Amino acid sequence: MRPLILDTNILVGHWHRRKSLGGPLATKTAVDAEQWADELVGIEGTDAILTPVYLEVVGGPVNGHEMTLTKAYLGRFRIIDGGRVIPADWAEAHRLAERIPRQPGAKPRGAVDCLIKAIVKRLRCDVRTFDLGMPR
Amino acid sequence: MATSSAFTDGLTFYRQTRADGGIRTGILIAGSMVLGRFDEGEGEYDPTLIWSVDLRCAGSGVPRDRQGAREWLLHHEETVTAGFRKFADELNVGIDLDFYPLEWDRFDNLPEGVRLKVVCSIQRRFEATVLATELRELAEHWRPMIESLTSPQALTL
Repeated sequence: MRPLILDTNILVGHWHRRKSLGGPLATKTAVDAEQWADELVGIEGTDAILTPVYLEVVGGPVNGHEMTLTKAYLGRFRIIDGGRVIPADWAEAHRLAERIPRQPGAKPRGAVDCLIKAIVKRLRCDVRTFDLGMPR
Repeated sequence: MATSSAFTDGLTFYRQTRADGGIRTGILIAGSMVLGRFDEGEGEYDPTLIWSVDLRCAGSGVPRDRQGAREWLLHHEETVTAGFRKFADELNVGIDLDFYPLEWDRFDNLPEGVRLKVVCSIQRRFEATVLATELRELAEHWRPMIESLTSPQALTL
């Protein structure tokens, strides 16, 4: 497997680009959503995500149909931490959250971003994200 | 035209650079890493990718095993590196980075039964000329880079 994780904003960005094409979301099916996911995997060359990414994406839908599509979409990705967030991950996430950034004007460290970074460190992977301000 | 899955099922060479300066290079066959290396960066730990370049190879002429992959990529060095340089020249002319990621497949002298495609990504705050520089570096150091890759068990990640 390629040691590359897709961050939430990559999945959500692709989802929004695809759903804006070809009619309202209500007309889309789970098969469509799976095809969108396969397309993203083909583009990025990886299908790896983490549990916090799954939770952030599945927390987005605002109705039952959208939830069905979102779950179909997410079902095409592999959660490579196997749903296991271990105590060491939480400890590293704490460390990242408490770290004072060196650069002036840096953004606050989000809890999920800290947790993603912590798990990525344990799994020795890289992260594809649009967010260069992830906590270090 | 080969589909995306034809490319991801085939052979992929990748090189990706992180915000902490770490560089990961590898070869995948059907999504499994068969050769790779990781060069540590000197910056504070940050695994966020700044840019990546994939060379994706599909078709019946593409090898399916580790040693075959290395030999094949070395044997076709001229085609690959000429393609990287040609793509770099086009990037220097100017390209709209709103198209993400960038895909390019105008290789010359392709081996029979093979399709090649370069897929690049870069953080949006960077210029496409950064990618052009990296593509030229890849072309310049292709042979030693491929020869330096080791089996995944021996990797220090």
